[in-house]
Amino acid sequence: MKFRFEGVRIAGIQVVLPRRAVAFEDEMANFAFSAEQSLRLKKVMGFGSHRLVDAGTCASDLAVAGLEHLFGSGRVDREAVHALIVVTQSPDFFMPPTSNLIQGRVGLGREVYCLDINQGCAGFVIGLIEAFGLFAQPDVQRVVLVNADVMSRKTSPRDRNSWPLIGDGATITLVERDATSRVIHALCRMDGSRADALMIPAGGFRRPSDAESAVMVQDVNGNFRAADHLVMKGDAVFNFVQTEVPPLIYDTLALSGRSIDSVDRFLFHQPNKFMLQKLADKLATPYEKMPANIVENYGNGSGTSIPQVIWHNLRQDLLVRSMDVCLAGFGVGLTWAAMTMVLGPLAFCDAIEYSR
Amino acid sequence: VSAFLARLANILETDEVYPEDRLVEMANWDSVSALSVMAMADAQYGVSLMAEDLVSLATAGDLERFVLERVGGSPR
Repeated sequence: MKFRFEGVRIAGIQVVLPRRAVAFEDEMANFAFSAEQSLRLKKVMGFGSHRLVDAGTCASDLAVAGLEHLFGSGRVDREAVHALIVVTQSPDFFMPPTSNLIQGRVGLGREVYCLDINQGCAGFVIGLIEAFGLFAQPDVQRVVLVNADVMSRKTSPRDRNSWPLIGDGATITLVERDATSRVIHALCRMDGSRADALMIPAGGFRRPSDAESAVMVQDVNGNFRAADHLVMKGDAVFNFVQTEVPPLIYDTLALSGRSIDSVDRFLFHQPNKFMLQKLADKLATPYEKMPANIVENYGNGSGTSIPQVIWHNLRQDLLVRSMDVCLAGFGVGLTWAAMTMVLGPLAFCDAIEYSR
Repeated sequence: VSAFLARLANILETDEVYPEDRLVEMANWDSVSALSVMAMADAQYGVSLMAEDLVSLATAGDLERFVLERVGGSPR
């Protein structure tokens, strides 16, 4: 589906990272591979260290810490928020919605519209689409978009296919009405027929968790995981990204009258450095224009990855000027979505660390 | 040596790969190499390989044939 938005902008970004950083080398002993084999994986995929929550920390804990920081520092006025959108695959509970829980914990008013969205690696673009859409309502001036996930809690530490790249965290994106902003274009595609490429097989209503779903089983590649854990078909996901994302980008750029060369930065979801460099090659854009350094520093945090790329690489620039950017997220669903916009100058672009 | 086998040798961090070489017996043949081969097939030949394709191919020559036969439109 095509989207077109006018009169809105991203006003600021707040990143929340768990304080605990764990290096790839310190976890190699958990994998059923030799150190030499795992170090080769590290080199090819570009792994380093990743940020993990402490036992018991929930997505809402990270989000609340970030929001309290923004309210406490005066960067956002608690009374001026009209809607709170929370994108997560790791809700505190099946019910109630995590957005309502956060509203209650940080004391947002009763007129604030709270909405949960179950999305993953495309979750920043999807969340922005929903946030921007709310501005069709004349009373809406400010929307807070939270992306938060603690996927390490649903990933097997003995799964070399997924564990080394998983990162936990939250990001808070302030979206505001702005009559002077340029038109924002987006394009979103979905294919539920390939939903099994990325899933947690047990724990929902289709297959409730039980003793059997907790049993660790070794797959053909040597990775151990249970049905309660995230499972990713690495080859299917790789082919999906390399096949579907380049046409998505070309079509989104065409919608907005841009070319590959006219875009200052391609701020993409961060699956790993390997896949991003292959994408950059396919799009014939230099690696410098497509930052790929989030997994090696913090891990892949699903919907938090794009705000993290912006904060980690561009915060100095974006506090003082604007850049022409193309965002893209791709993953669970399957879902792939891209968006073009003029980003910045931002009122804030900052990170805090969280520990219990 | 063909361009394909030279690319394969580069992925496997070895000097040369011969068509009759058995993939599973090669020192660096693992899931990391498999992903790199998939990336190479996609980037250089426009061919999408799946992990199960690779399992069904015994030798480097089989792999080369499999990829080259699918250039310009996969029969999948």
